[in-house]
Amino acid sequence: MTEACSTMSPSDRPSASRSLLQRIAFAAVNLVLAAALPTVPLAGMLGALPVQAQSAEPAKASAKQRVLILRADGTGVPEAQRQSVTRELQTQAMKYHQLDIVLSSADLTEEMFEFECTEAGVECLGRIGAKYTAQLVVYSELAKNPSGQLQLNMRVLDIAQGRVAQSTVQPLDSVDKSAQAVQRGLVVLLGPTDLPAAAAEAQATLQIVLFGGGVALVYVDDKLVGRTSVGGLRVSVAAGSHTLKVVRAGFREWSAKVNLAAGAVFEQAVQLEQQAVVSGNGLPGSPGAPAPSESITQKWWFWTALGVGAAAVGVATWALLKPSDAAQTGYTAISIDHMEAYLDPVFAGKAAK
Amino acid sequence: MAVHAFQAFRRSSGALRRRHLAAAASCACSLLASGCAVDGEGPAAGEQTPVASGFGELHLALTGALPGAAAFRLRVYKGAVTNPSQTPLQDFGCKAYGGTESNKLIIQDLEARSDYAVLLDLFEDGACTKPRYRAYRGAIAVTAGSGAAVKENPYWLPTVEFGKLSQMAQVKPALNDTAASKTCSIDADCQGIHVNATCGANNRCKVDNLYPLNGWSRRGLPSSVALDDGRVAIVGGLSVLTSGMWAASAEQVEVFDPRTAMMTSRLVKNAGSPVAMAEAVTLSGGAFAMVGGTSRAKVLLSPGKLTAQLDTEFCAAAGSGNCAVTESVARWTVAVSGESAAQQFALGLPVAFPAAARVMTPNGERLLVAGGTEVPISAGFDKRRGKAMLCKADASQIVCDEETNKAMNAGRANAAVACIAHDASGGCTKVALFGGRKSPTSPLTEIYDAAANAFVVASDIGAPPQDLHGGRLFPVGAGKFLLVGATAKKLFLEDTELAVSGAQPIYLLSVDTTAAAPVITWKPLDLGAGAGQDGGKRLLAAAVQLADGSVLISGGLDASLAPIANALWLSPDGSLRANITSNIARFGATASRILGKGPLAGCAVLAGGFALGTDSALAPQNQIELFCPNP
Repeated sequence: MTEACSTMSPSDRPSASRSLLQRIAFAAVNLVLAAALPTVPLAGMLGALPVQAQSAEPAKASAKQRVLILRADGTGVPEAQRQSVTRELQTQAMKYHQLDIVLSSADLTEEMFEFECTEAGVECLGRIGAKYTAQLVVYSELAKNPSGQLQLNMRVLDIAQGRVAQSTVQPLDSVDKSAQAVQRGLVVLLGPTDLPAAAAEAQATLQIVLFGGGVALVYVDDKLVGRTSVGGLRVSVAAGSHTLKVVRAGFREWSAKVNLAAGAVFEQAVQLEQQAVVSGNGLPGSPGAPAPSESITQKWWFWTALGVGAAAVGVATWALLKPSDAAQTGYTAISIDHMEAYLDPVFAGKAAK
Repeated sequence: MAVHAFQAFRRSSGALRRRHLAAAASCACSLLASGCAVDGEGPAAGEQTPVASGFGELHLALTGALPGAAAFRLRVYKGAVTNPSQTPLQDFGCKAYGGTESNKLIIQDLEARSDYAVLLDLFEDGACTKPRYRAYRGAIAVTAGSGAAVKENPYWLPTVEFGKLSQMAQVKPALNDTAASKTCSIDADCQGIHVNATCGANNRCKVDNLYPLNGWSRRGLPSSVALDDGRVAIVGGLSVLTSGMWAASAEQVEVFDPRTAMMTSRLVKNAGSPVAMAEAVTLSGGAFAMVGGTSRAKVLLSPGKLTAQLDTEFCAAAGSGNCAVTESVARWTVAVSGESAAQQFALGLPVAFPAAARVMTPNGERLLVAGGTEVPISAGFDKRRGKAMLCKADASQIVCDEETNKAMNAGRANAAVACIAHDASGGCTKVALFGGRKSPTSPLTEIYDAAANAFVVASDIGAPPQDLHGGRLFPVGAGKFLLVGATAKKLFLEDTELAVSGAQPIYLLSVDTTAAAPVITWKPLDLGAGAGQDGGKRLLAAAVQLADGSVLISGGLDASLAPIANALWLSPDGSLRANITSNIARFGATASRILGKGPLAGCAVLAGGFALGTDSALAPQNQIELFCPNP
């Protein structure tokens, strides 16, 4: 039994204008997340890769995938900057306790020289990776784009398949602030990190179930931890207080504060609300579908509502309850026609007619 | 990947508990004068406090010609109709039914409320003595102020034809044609067509259902249970196919509410993993027990071949929490309004297909959970449990620690179960377990005596089957039972691939408990040519007992494993009363009778199941059919 507790704070943006803003925000979020999305399939692929225990060291970590982190390559950037990024790479990579991280022992040019490579292509990186008995090789290149902006080009090579499994380009404002770029890049290539070993005993399991199914991105404390599938998402997180956030395009963002007890399995069922459709905003979801049915003037209640013709067509009218000084009159209609069921007021009058 | 079993915590809030159509419902409410009656988590239509803020008109037109109707009687009620003696606000009396356009009635100057109900009966004769159809709808709002938008959207009344299987709201073909013409990336792209429109796999919009005027979630092999207040809960069911396995619907429960004639979908706090094939047993206090079930299973149907297999991939390590087969017994309460919740009792290991029944013991009412099998299934080693336990369930918990290892006389899984003796207050004092054994060397039938807290072997005489698995029993008179839907195959257990259904005939059982050793007399029934080729031998059929003791057996698979598109209606004596055409050829559905005294009381709700889609692939169903016997 879990001892976890939760305090819900679902986002609530009822107005049309806020909904529009939210859509724009969603679009932005989706752009950012587009790069992050492949991390989960990659993580799945990592789990399916065969373990190659070609030395005593990898044998010790036989359940983990062995990943070689190459020192950063640099094109047209000072050596100090390249080394700074390499240090950051190595520091961030060592946080992947679920992987068997191995750091290259020499600069990339030296590694390439050993195999007489002239280009850091798939074949060359594969050979270097094989030397370290790695299954994956992470290659990073510090470069400037045509406009002079620094960026970090990263890719991960799957040696068994002989192909680049994933790549990413992370903009870099300055080398001194490369930590975030490196971290984002590694998340794209390798997925999220697990917890520090020291905190392993204080872990809890988080199970997110998305009602209605679908794929949604799950964040813990604003950090992407994965996305839901049919069975939801089950991840380990540090015990303690967290903010959960579930994001899905076309739905309102959902968030909640939770307190996870160590060792607990915390299940959270999430019901995402569809966003209101904003008319005429040009964004996906705008209405404008053609009408499949007849005009309102062909409907019986239109004419009866006119009142004038009611008696003429034999409509019986009863008056009940109303005092003489009552307010305006409204109308409610009834039908037993199957073909009109979709027009029922429970559908809010949104149906095309 | 397995759907993880979890015994953790579900946190519900107003936002969390709103259903997919919350947006639709809230929009509807914004148009109506008073509180919303259709939101699945809102107050029930019959119970909310309506807000009077003016006056409106109610226009009633009997559009949609109903064949064979000569006259009608239309009544309007303030509040849901819950008993036949309820006084209507307006009774229009018996009037000639003129078809599509001639019967237009208007009630003016109605107080603006959202809890009106309309009951329409149509008759074959002009004197209104031979009922043919009934249409009913609650939670109807009459609005004040400008009603222009509302009058374009008439309330639709579900209409049932007595003695027939009647569908609930269907999507207008033209609407789906329109939807299919629109490309989409996400569901929101389709919302301008209809609020229920979604983006299909082919990036075309579709309108899959008209929930809440019909079912929402697609459910194969769901469970259902009749609640005391008349509602019928449809629970779980296999919904999504992934990697060759069907996963149970995360939409835990949908409820047909006869007071509104609409569905509501609800989340149940602490319900654990979604499941299919669970035993749902009515408990006191409006609750029900969920016993057994699985969150994943393989179900495939090709011509002449049925594959039916539990997903036991992660079941080797007992208590791992990842086994698809349920490891707990639960008590569920599905509230009319407010929070729905469940209590769980962990069994410590996954157990498939246990039998469950409510019994009255010297210590009070208990839930008997008997047998079942441990998983994974082993062809060479019978893991059927020859043990039973008693569970005590109250509003706060369910506990199964009073009697945990009561010895049975045989290991049984997927046994049929029936109460065969009652005390003066109606409590069940003896429960019979039929079949579910692995080998005919074990006794076919044994009986649990609650007073003695012991199982005794019964003598089976007449023409008992050697192999008997599954099936449902219905009491049809003193010591008489009809057994329907049983099979000779150990479906989902040892027999994972069938070339023939192996369905057993319908049996009439006579149970004599006066002797020290109970005697069961087995008689297979010949239903005659009227029952069609299957003669009542149906695999995975839905069966429900109606108020007069008759039994409706709907759908299923015939001997060649083809889905059946009709229902057999049996009289209590086992004779065929009618062969009724179904709207959908489906198997693995569920059915329960509506209790209470409302206008739909006594009708049966048929839900879920699998049908063959246009591509001949199995398609779980979300269509509800209603069967109302002649009043």
